[in-house]
Amino acid sequence: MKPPSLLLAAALLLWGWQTGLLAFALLMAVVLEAARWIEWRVDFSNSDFNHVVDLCSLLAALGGFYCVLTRDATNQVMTMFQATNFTSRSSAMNSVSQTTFIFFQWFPMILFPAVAAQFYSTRDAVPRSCFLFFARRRLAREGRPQPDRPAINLTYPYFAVVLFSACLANQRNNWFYFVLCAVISGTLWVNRPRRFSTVIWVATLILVVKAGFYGHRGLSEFQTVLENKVANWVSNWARRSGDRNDATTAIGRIGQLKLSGAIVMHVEPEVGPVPSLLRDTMFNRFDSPRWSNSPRPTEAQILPVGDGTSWPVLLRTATNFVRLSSFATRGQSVLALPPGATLIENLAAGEMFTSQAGTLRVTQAPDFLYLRVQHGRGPTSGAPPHKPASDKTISTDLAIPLREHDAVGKIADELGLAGQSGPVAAQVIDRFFAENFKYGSFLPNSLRQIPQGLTPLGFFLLKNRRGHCEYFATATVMLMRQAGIPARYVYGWSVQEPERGTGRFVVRERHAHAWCVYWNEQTRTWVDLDTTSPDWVANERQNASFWEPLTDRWSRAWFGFSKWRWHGATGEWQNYLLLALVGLIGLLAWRILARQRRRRRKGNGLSEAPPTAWAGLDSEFYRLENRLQKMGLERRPGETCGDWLERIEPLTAAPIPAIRELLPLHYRLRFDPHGLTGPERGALQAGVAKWLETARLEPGQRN
Amino acid sequence: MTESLATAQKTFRTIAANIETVMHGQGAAVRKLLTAFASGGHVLLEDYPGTGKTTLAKTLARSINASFKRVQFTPDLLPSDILGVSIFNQRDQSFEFRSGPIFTNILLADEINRASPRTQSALLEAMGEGQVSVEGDRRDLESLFFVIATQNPVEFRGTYPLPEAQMDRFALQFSLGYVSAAEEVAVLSAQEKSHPLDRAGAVVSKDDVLALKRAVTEVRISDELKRYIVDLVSATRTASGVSLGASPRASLSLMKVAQASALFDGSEFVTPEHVQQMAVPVIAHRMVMDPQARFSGVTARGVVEELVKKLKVPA
Repeated sequence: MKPPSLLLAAALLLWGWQTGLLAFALLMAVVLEAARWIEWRVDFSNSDFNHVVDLCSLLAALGGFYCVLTRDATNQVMTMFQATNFTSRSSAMNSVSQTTFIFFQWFPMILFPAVAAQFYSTRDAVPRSCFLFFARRRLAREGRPQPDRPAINLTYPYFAVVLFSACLANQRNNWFYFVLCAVISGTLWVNRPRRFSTVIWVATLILVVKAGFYGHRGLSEFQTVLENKVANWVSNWARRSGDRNDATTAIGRIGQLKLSGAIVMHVEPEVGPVPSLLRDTMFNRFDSPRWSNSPRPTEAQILPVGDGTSWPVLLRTATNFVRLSSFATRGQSVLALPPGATLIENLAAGEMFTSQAGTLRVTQAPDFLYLRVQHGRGPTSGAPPHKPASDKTISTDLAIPLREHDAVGKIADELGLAGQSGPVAAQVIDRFFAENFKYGSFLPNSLRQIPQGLTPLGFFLLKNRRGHCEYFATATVMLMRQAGIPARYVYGWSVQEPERGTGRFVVRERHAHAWCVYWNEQTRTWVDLDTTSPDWVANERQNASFWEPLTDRWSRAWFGFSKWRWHGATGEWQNYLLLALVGLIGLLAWRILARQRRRRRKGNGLSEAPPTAWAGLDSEFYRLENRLQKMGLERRPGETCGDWLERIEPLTAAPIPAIRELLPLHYRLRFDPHGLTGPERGALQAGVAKWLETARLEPGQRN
Repeated sequence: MTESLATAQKTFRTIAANIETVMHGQGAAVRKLLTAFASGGHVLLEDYPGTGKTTLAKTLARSINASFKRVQFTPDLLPSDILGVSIFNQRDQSFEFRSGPIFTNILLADEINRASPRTQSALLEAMGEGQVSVEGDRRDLESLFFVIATQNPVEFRGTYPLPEAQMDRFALQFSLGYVSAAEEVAVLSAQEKSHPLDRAGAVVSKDDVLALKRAVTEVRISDELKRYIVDLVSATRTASGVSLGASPRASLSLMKVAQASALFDGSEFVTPEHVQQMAVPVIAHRMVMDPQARFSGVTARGVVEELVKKLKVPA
């Protein structure tokens, strides 16, 4: 079944228009349509088709690989599975599906070799067995030949794939629908039922096209309405929003806190010790269970120095260096840095902002960050404590929510914190927590019976004395503030797990941590005060998944690969990929054509008959056959001499009947075990010589 | 050409000419039937009703001065109905064997696929070995024993398809097919007053036929062509869409039929044309096709034709 001419070309051009690959589309369309006018054909064997199909599979694999590389698909898939809430999962799903769309858009190119091979082959379909790799292998193992049938004519399936790919790339353009309809109508027009009049056919088509147009419009509007509704419902459940305006803690929540063991960061000390805490964001205002910043911190831009990859965070130098590697989503990231970080190197980002909350945000960064950070003791980033506008109001860095006053005040009195200096108070509070509190991420149901009048924090401080880092951090901040020392709540990461044999540390998702920073008036810095009982690390490790060693291995490989990709191999690796591909295709084409030529030279035949010296192979008759072959009248492999002569007789003016008279002699020489007598052989020789003489006298025999 | 071969060819031609007075426009079919007959094989005619299967068989029987029996196969036909049965003779107080229709020279097994497999296989031994075993006694059949079985490809209700083993016992399977309109008019004219079959008499004797059969074995065939036959038959075993290829018995039949065919043409030796002509009727019916290939329209006949076309033929 041949499609009407220019149909595939139209589909391909539509696809090219939509995907922006018009040059490729034009080239492919020309190659495919030219097959109608060019008579040159290649006799593809099954194994040649196998090679071509394998090439297509390879192209698909490479395309997928390329997609994964450029679109960061693995990360998207990982995000999709690790997402803790609906919003992030659905956004991850969106990006995964977009990547898939892009991959599918390439399908016309990926399948092109197979379709072109079919168009330029002597067959009109590709054997189905070529597409079944394992069946092929099995047949080869069993020594059976690969069946030619059933065969698949790729034309219309390819047409469908091209249209499908064009649809995926649709740039939301009304024209697209009508052009698509026109292309499909072209196909339908050729195959239309003839028993209806053209008018009816056209009217029906217009009706269907109209219905389709309004139908898909309605559908898309319905989708918008539905999406809005769903977004409304979902936003109520969203637990942790992506920005750093606030941090909702699990204070007061009951049950097991589950954090995954996925590795989010590698920390590699270069000079000096490894920083034990990496700050992400500071918060100053607590509304149980939420920490936020008030007033909303303003951002200031940091400009790079040198070659544009070094960013001075603080205007001082430090002596320690550490390398951090982590992933950025779509080029955006909030950097988690050791306190006292002064300079960030090896970061090719577009812009960097620092906020009063000490947050460092980068945009237009590579998807994988591999930073070199200079850090050391001394002033840290983050604005100094908030000074109230008047004496009547209290600084936000000293504010304690009313509900927590009772419990915090009671403990502060017990510890005698009032009037103490920062470091002393810190010591007292640290000892207090170390001696009286235990770490537990599991909050039992008994918490439901929090006594009347007690907040979750109060219950933690006075009765339960067991909780996770958010309790410790919040309580510490409150106690410091009660002592009159400005303090803030910090969200970040704890670095504690050395990776075996590498000298690096890994930071897992469950190492997410919160602690307190207080303002040291003398040094004018924010000092870390982590009061969470040190057994929390071991405690959390118990929750490690059984599969963790396995996922760690994968994660390590992925980190290594990402590092190589973004920061290792400089140069246009994409170009190398393309070059390798072109070379591969060229090699395949050369092999197929070379084998073809060899086969033609050898003369084709199915059986490899042993070169037995059968009788009469020296017959003079073969001279006649050679002569006729040179005239373009060659004998087909399965054709007997008699049939051959009968077939070519109307095709030539050469005296075929004369040959037919010689045939019985030749046959006797060849197939009669008794053979020819001497005179008979002489007659054959003479007859052949005579015929060759006559044929020479009559050149230009072909009609 | 030696005298025996020349006589044999004459016998051949005489029978063919006689049959063709009755069967108009069926030269090719007559030739196939006679080559199978002369090579000692049996024939399965598969065709639509009314194309002259039975007439062909009966004309052959009449043309030779030989005994002819006809068995109409039905579902309730028993093996003893074909082979014969021992009957207790009250007078002699002993069993005596009443031979069945199989003890004849030419047997027409009409609509063979209507009989039960049990009855069909009663024919097996007879066709394969020229002997039957009845109640433990071996009884030889006539030296000239030729089975023409017919079956109707249209009807399936109440039929038992022949098992593969039985198909293999037939040297040839072919169909007559519809003749051209002009030929059909000739058939009508010929039967306007009486059936030409009634006028057809014996033209050769049984001895002539036995001589013919001996002559067939004298037709020479080169090793190269034997190799070609073997290659052709073994190629069916690996062809795509075929789940069971042809057996070595097919090679043997093809050789013998090709010899007979050569004799029919008056040749003392077999040429590649003789092998190719007979390849389809000898090989195709022995093959079992893949159900999948069958549904996609691939036939055994098509596979063999393709192989004949593709396989390099000695020339």
